[in-house]
Parts: sequence; C-alpha cells; structure tokens
Amino acid sequence: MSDFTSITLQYNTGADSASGATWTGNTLQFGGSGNGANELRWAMSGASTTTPSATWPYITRPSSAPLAITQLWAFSSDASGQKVATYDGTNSHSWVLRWSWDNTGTFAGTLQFSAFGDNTHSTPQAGTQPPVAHNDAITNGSSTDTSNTSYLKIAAYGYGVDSSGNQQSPTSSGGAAGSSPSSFTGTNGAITTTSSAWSTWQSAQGWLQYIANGVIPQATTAGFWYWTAILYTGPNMTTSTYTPVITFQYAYS
Amino acid sequence: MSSGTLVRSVYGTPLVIPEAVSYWAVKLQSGKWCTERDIVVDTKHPMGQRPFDWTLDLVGTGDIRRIVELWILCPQTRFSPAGSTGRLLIEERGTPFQLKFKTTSGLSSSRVISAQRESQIVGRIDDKVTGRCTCFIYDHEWQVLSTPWVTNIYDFGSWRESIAPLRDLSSEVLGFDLS
Repeated sequence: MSDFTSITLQYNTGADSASGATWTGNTLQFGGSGNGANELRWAMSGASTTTPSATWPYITRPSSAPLAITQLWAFSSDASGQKVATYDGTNSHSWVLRWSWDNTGTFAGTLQFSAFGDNTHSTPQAGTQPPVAHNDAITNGSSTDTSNTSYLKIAAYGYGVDSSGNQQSPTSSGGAAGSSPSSFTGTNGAITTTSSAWSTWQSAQGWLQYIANGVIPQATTAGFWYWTAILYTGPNMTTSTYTPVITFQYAYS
Repeated sequence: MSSGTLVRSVYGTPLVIPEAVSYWAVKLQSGKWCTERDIVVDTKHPMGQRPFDWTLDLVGTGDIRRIVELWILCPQTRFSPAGSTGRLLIEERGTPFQLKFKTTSGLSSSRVISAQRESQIVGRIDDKVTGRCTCFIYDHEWQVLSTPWVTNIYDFGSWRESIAPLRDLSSEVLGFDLS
C-alpha cells in the first residue's frame, strides 16, 4: 500500500479521561517550519499561548538534584500554542499525547520512536556534557544526573491498533501511566510495548534507548497510539538552548 | 534481461533512469514485467486509477507467487550518473518482498525544515526456516544502492547508525510465504 497521507502528533487540552480529553484541532505536523511552528516546548513558568519561540522563558537549572519540568506546550505556529493540560512532569496521567495515523497506509514493519539532537539523527553520545556536534544535552544525558540515559523519558500504551484492528486506549478514567520513572530511568535497546498496558518507562536517546511497538498494526486501519513523556533537567546539564527532535520510524510497502 | 533492456522497455532509453526516487520492477513467470510506475484502473480510487501496488496487485492477486525476478531501479545521482540497479533471482515461491522505510522528525524546537527521509528495500528470503534474507537497499538520503546485504525477516537489522533496526516484517502486507 502507499504511504500514509497523515501521521501526526495530537495533544490533550482537556481532562485525563476518555470522555474529558480534548484532541480536536490539537494536532502538530512533523517537521519544524523553521519559524517556531509545530513545536513541543517545555517550561516551568512564564509561558503563554502567545509566547513566540524567540522569547520562550528560560528554565533555571537546579543546583542540587535533577527535577522534572512541569509544563508542556504545543505550538502549531510560532506564537500560537496551547498548554498540554494533562502534562505535569509526572506519570499521573494517561491521556496526554498520541500518535495518529489515517487509514490510507499499511505498516509493513515495527513502529518505533525516540528523540535525537537534530534531524541528522546522529547517535547521541551517552553521558557527554557538553554535547558535541549533532548531539544535545537532553538526549546525551549525564553520568551523574541520569546515569548516561536521556533527560527525556517516554512511555507508550499497548499497540495503538493491534493486528486485528482493535484500538487500544488507556483506561477510560485515566490515572497513572505505568510506574513512576526517575531521571535515571532507561534501558539499552528497545522497550517493546505489550497488549493494552503501559510500557516500562524508557529514555529517549536516539536508537540507543527507544520504544518499539509490540505488533504491526492492522492494514488500512486508522488509529491512535497513546504515549506520554517527562523531561528532566539537572545540575550537570550544560546550559544552552536545545532543539532536539522527536522521531517516528515506520515501514510500508 | 539486462538492466539496460529493462530500463529501455520502461522509458525507451537505455540505462538513464529519469526518476527522482527508486522503484521496484518484477518479472513474472509469463514473461510479463510489472513495475511500481505502472498505472492500473481502480474504480474504488478517487481518481479512478492509481499506481501499481505491491500489496494490492501482487500479493492480492497471487502474482507474488509467480515472480521470477525482482529488481530495484535507482535514480541518477552524483555517485551514479547513469542510475543503478539491483536484481534478485527468485527460485522459490513466496520469497520476494519489497518495502519502503521512513523516519519522520520534528515536534520540538527544530530549525530544520525538511524532516522526512526514505529508503527502499527489495529482498529475497534465502532460508525459510531461519528467515535469512538477501536485500538491496536504496538509501535516499545517501543516494546510494547497497551491495547485496544479508539480514533476517524476523529481526531486520539496521544498515547505518541513524536508523533503528526494522525488526519484524509483515508477511501479510509484503506477501512472503514461509510454508
């Protein structure tokens, strides 16, 4: 089958439940526009729905222990965004983010996602601070703050759509997404999702540490693959402005 | 059939492949050639026609079991001014496959506009028991066609560092038959 017409990221601006979640219109396309569009942005305070990328508030690096960043925003254009209501830097919510694909394509191999320093998709240099070319401090992580895993953690729910075409979604009442991770969480290789369950939390460190779908979803079936994230910072992170990318890999015929 | 003859049959000129992307071609037992550049009538399609499709038109019709040659034809690049081709002879039914691969990035404060890359893979299962297979890969980012590369359909590997192993491949979609 041909490629998908649409694979996007959607974010929840409503409540942490099946009935209370708001996804309509909350879609980011892949590929930054170069002017601040289609960005996920993290903040601790000082951000608003109209804050452009160039004046996005700094996050103060903690002086002692790593901490989770508590706000996530999604910007469809440079100065037009929304707060992801169910992101708070913990695993307390299930309805946060989801990959969305339409019914025009057919996956021919395993779906996988992670994060890289930039679009060259160079392998992160685990634990290296300051980062080198085509790496960044976030995905490299720190030997002290993150045990050489990424500062960005991710978890995914089930298969999205299973091989029989059934949509797999978190518990309708929401709640915890798996067991609470820490800044040190991460496993070399892939964490593979299992049926109708939250995955183990994983570090998003290129293809060194990433999440893979446990099945190949049914052909020509639209679906949502739910996931969530936590971004940490720590006293040993080299300060700068970082622009990592989140990468989704798939195959089709 | 030589690559020059095949390309001539498609474009009327030898060897030079005037396409921006790679594509596959197969020879059936009947001697008929089918390629991804063919157009087929499809009344279910909004346009009434669509490109010839691996899953719909080879797997769906059973012609997948009548393939005797599988080719990949690759565009002109600075590394290969005349384009390049790879050919796999298919001696056992149910062993050829073809797929494309994509990584798509963004969703962060990226300043890079282009975010999509593709590669195309044609392959042949050499050992139905173990899943060992031989493939040609055209890497669109690097603009090169690989030499024959051995991996496994149950744990499809990675051919370079910025690509994750593809792992499982779908027999339903790709049409290979291990029975």
